Amino acid sequence: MKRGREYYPISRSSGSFVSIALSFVKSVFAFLIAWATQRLLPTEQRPSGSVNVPLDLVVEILKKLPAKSLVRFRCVSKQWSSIISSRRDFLDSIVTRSLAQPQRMHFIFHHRTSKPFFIFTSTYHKMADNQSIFIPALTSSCIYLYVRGLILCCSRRGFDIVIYNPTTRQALWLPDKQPLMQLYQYTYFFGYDHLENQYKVLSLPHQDMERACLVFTLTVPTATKSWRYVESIGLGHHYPKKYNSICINGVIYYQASTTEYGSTYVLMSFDVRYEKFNQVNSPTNHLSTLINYQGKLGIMCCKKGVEIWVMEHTDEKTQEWSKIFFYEEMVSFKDWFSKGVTRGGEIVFVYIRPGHHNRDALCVSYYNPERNSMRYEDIDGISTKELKHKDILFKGVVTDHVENTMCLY
Amino acid sequence: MSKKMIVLKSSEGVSFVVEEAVARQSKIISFLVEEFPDRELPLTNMTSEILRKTIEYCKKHVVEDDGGGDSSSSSSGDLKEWDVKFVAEIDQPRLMDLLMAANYLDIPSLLDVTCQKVADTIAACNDEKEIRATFNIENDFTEEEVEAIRMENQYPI
Repeated sequence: MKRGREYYPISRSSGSFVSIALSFVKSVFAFLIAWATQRLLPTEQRPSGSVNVPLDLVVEILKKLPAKSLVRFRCVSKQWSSIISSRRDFLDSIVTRSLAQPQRMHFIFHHRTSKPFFIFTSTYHKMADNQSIFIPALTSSCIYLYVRGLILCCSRRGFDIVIYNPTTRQALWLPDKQPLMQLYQYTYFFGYDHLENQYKVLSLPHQDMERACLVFTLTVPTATKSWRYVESIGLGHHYPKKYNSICINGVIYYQASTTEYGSTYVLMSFDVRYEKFNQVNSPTNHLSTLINYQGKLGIMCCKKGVEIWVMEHTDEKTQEWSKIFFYEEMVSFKDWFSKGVTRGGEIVFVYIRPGHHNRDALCVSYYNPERNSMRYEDIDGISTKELKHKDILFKGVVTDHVENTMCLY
Repeated sequence: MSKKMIVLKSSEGVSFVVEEAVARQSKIISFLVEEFPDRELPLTNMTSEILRKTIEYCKKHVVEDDGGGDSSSSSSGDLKEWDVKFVAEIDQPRLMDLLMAANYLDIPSLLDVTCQKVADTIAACNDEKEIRATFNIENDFTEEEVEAIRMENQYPI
């Protein structure tokens, strides 16, 4: 403070408006100098090199490190650990940085060996690939949901649930629900709300929705590690469709039927932040695939040929669906798994393309609705024989994987 | 037209006469020369060596910025190369001083370049001990805590 005033003594002031403005500017300046001098001790008072780097500079430096180094060097100091694993602006910057990288598809393959595991990979090469992440699976059959760098894995009957972070290689087993609740079968949904920086797992029983809608919140730092009840939907019987949900801008969308083996479906939304359910107008009541079409909800219905609709406004009043055409007739569409859209707006399909003499290929195709064109890409290294015998199960495509150094506990 | 010059004074009292346009890459100096023209600016927390380095960086960048026009794309590539060389020649203690100077004077591009160089140095370290030694960071973890963190970051396969 002293030093700042020493340089620029306030001497020109008089009573005019200009001088008030000037003295304001000067006080700003005095503040700046004080701020600046506080940050830096005079060089001659300390040995060169042993600089006490201020926190915001440490953050800026760490933002430039690759995720692998960040995970390894968490144990340098408590300050580093806390920045890397829980500081909000830091975590956001690592996620944003990933999105600026060239886009790479990631696949989830589940292996049904005696010790089941799954692989999260961008290039499928069996076993020997350092790009792949091997993670022990819960049971021989699992469901995987991906949201913003984290993978939720639940066992088939929904009793065990784990959240994995493939960047940090951490796993968080979610706590058991109350004993009564274990009698039900559950369907799980996974979502993220940017405003509160919270991941939430939504757990819906397969029927009788009045009873037990539960939410588990994962935030930094994780405060409560338990399930909470949320206000139920009020629709009576409600059978949410497994495998088919998507979280866009803090809203989870899913389809549900009103009867157990019903063939008509309603489109539902769950606001991750406010924990409210809503029924959304849908262009179709058939079972469809939900996709994130460049930040908008897309719904792909394969009843008559293939139709893709995109929701233009999320607001109920102005909500509109626009139709993007696709093939009118598609052969053996049931073998196609569609999941995801590239940043360029191409819709991604993964399917087994039949070939001669057992030489089928696991194939990824990209449909561009604007140009009405399709391009193909084979995934190397996987034996489709194994796929056919169900030793390896293809479990999904992640089109926009982001690195996230967030600590799960 | 003669170029306007300003005087920057290092902690040792050495005066550096630089073009205003060069010095204005520092947001702080830019603010100061507007409010208080015709003064020399004492930078008591910067040694002559670091101040000279900072001015060298600013000079290079102001020339390239003025050069503008058709060759701007190729020159920006050259400039990047120059930046890399510039920080590569500086030893570790002086790099930290330069980083602090860039932060103090608020020169975003120099801050970016120096931060990147420090990050590269960290990434090249073999383990956390080397990082602590290089950057003089106190280890406030116990052995058990370090081990616990290591265990957290691997799946039990």
